[in-house]
Amino acid sequence: MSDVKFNVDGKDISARKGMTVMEACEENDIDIPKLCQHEALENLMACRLCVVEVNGKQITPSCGLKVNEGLDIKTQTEKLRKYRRMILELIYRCENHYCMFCESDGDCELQDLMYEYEIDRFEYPRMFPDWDVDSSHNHIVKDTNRCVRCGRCIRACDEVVGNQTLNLGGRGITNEVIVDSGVPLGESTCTSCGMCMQVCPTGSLSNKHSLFKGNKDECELTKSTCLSCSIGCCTDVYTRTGHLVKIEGTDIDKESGGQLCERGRFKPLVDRGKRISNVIYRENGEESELSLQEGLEKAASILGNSNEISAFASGGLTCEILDAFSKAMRAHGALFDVVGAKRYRFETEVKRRINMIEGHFINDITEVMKAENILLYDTSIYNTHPVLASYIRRAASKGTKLITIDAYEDRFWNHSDKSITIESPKTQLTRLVNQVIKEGKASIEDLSRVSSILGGLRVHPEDVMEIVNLLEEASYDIIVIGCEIIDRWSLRHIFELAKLEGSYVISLNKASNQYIRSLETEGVYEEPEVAYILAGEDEENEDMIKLVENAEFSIVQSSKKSELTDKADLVIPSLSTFERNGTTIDINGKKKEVELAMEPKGEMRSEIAFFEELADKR
Amino acid sequence: MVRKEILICSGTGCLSAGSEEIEEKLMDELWKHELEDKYPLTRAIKRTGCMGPCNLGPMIIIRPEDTFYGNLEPSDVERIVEEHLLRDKVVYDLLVEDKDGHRVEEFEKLDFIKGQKKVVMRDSGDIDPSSLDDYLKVEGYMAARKAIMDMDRSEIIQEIKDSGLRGRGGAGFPTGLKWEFAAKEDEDQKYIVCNGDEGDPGAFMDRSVLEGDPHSIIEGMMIAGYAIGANQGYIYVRAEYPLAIRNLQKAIRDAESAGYLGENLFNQGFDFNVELRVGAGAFVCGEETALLSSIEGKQGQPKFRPPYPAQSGLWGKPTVINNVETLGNIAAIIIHGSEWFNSIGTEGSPGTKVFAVAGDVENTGLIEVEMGTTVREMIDIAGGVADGKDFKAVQIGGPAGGVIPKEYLDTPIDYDSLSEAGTIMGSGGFIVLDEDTCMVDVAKFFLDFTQEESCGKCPPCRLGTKRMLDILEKITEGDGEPEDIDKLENLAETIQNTSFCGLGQASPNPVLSTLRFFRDEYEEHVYEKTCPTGTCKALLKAFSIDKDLCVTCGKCVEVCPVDAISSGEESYSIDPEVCISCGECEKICPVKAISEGGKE
Repeated sequence: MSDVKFNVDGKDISARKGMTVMEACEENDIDIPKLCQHEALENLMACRLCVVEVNGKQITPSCGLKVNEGLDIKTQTEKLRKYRRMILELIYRCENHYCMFCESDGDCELQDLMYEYEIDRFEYPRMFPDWDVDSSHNHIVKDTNRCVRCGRCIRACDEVVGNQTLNLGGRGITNEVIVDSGVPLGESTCTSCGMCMQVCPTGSLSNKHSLFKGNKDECELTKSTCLSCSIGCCTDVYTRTGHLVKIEGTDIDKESGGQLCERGRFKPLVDRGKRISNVIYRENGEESELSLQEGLEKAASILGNSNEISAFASGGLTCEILDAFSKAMRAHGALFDVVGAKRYRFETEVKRRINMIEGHFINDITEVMKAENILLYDTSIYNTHPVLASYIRRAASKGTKLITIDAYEDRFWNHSDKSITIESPKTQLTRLVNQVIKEGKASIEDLSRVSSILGGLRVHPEDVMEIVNLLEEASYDIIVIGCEIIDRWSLRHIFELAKLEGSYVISLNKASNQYIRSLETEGVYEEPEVAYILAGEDEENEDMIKLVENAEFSIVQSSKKSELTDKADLVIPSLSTFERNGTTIDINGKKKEVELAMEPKGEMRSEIAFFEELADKR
Repeated sequence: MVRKEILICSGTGCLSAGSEEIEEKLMDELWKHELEDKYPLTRAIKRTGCMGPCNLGPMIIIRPEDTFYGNLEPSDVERIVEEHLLRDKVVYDLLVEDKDGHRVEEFEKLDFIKGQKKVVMRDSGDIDPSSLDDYLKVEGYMAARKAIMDMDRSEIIQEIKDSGLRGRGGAGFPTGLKWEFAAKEDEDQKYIVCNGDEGDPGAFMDRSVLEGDPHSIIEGMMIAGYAIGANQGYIYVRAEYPLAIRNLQKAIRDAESAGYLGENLFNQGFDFNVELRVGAGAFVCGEETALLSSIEGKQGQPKFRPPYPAQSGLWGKPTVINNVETLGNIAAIIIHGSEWFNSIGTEGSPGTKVFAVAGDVENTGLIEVEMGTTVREMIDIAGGVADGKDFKAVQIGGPAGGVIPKEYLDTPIDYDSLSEAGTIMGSGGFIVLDEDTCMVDVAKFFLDFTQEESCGKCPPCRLGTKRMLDILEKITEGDGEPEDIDKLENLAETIQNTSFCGLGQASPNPVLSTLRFFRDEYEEHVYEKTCPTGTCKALLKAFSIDKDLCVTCGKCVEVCPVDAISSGEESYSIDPEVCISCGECEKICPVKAISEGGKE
């Protein structure tokens, strides 16, 4: 990229060709006011605050103007200041902005500009528009009274999240941000990722759970990694006086645009549960509280006296804890497994059997945006890996063909080009569809045979044929396998299809920490003498509950009261996600830091020390 | 007896004036007199597009003698059939009078038609827009044939450039230049778009052309498409124009089946197709980038230029967007040549312009005149100011335009002279305002329109116009303050300089232009709290009765709609608290004892 030289406010600066004047100014620390421009989003040029004077005459928004050799730009003339003040006053006085009573007081870009332009008296009276506040959503309050119509939320929902839930409606003074075709946010197609709220420059979109808990300056900021799924989004965790205030996404310059999902952004704020701070021991229907040390002794003695021990850990823990836990359990002769590890073991096995080379597998999930076709087996990724779901929606909005196959429900219904749901168990689904796809390949005309295979199922042979044709034609298709598919047969079918069509595979796993790929794990006893469950903060896991129910004696280590801890014979407290230091490995194999954001509460100080001691007690 | 042809204007204006009823009656009468063989319905009665003099509707022309009957009632039809058709005798008293009171027989000799020069409106009112055959009879598709068979692309573009044709949508950008930009782009896929999103209040030129001569637009697009290398055209029409949509759909279908649209046109290997896109009628969609967004299925909001549509338009491909009227000129230029076109109009603005003349004139309707015709001549064509009142101003250019006062009556109508006079050509709105018009009210009307039609994208337009409107309302309500006029000018400056698109940038024009010529009127509203024309009701003062003059006839009591007048023995009196200043009593008083705010 060649350099372009031009002049800003009498200062010669150079910038790379293709940059906007605003970007070039930012690089050179020249301040230009703005409300609608956002680095993760396409420029809209709507707010008109960034207008600059070009070559002494033309007035143009600097976020739209590309740098050009010899441009003469003025950013701070008297005239421009006058216009900006006028626009700021228009915005401030035409909507209901009352800083003192606003959640964003102190975190507001409009407020900052009002200070910067020293607007402390007004020429025009307030207009007092009468907008309804939409508080129908579980996490987000949408208050049009404080909206500056910068369109950031709309662009974020479209460009970053690929969901197109928000739009502009109405003309003139009745213009507003609308949800779908005018429904309350809580009843809309919103995925509750909160991206709109994160980019909102004012208090128009705010987080219900952090309202009035303090602005960013008053909080402590910890940079960490989200452990909700294997994507491992980078997070900014805001805490104040040891309490969680809010969580925001940070990777603004990356593909994710700084988004998080509902689980990453809101769940830690909502799902407080009852904290487990003591060891609870249940015997003959009696419940007693023990000290942590007593609990450790108790656990060690029970483990020491048992032969068949099943140890099962959540996949949402740090590498260090998984390591320490597995060592302690192995020391006691337990079989050890982690959520998601089974699927990984099956995959490895299937790959070996059908000679599937590693080249077929993709770890970089942003690749879906480059594919011609995406074949999505199991649409549960909508919930399990929402950021990947957003990439798929974005791809589909830009012309990638999206084919979804799900047993029950297509959660991408408004983005998929072809959707097959057959309302039958998953194995049958993949087997049948695959069989048809292979059969179809053999003789595409022979639809009658296909029909007989599909007999009784709600799949049209034509649909399957269309999929075959799509995969045939495209040179780059990606098959995404959701984590609900956990049987070897299904995996084999899908892998075979990938081999046949030369497709690439992105295989998702329930474990948030992909360290499970390096850990030695195995299937555990289904009805053990002792089950030791190390629960994370992921949702209630059926396998864990089954194990606790089937074991003669069960130990559950968890930070929160849950169905698991209610059923356990011995409950040991653990730390919450934000009280831990450590590392995690994301789907791409990258090691990321998990930082301590809050001091541990209760007796437990370090789980690693606890497990080391437990191992020593053998 | 020569076979006669009856043309009945079936433009939207005449349809609402009852032309269908006339047509039905006409058919009944023909049947009654057993004339169905002589006048087979499909041939003898022809529904045409707009003929122009809209306030004379419903109207018919009988050919070959070209007799024009206007303002028809169904009861008149019987006489026309019996006298004119059967006995070849013109029904004299049904003819339209000219300004000297003489009855005019021929359509071409109407005052309204005489001063006009028809290029774009050449076929409207003359042919049946739903008939391809009719269009072919008036040399239809001959221009396309000539262009595609005998001319190469650069020749066509050169011809259009030489003609000096400028975009009729308002800004007046040279059409040939626009085509050249798009032609230079090295892209396989290009588009040609016809902008039929006519939105100025009261303007209906484009609608009339689309309704009355749809094939000419398709032909214009075809030539443009051939010249720039586009094989797909889109016509964007607002949904409020159902007749235009119907006629266009028919025209596209007919052209397709007759081989004037489709593949390998005129065996020259050129493919061209046209699709209709119906918009929801947002004013901002007349702005080209917003229009393209709308065609793409997105919200109609303007986009930043550059890149201009000629480089990157519809779906990122080079796109030429021409106004309906612009495209209506193309076939004529190709047939008659650029020299012929240059001979019409002025040097800087060759050709003609169609105006929708409305307001306080005797005859409203569509007037197509040569560029350079003065405002005064235009008003003469329209029969002068209505009811013998004095001329005050004319508003040209719609919500983006301004007013031209008496002093500028001899301004020639062309792009440059109009902009010197502080207004713009615009798309062809021409509203004549008489002495009773309040200029603050006029500004308020247009600002109210732009304010409501602002797409909302940028704050200066969305909020600034609302602020200006609030101030104008304040002034007309009698609450104006001295600094309000300065505030209007301040807001206008910011809006003009910082708005995103033309809609916003031009929105203060009606205010600025009225301020320029009629500042005193604003000041009277603000300082004296009076509206000189009595338009702003809130500023009217209560009426009162001069006791010395009152003859207690009681007429005023009868007409007062709010019973504000009470009787007394020597004189009547008006309760100022009840009076709504309607002025009815003043009008009826035989001794002129009543006046506004007069002495008690």
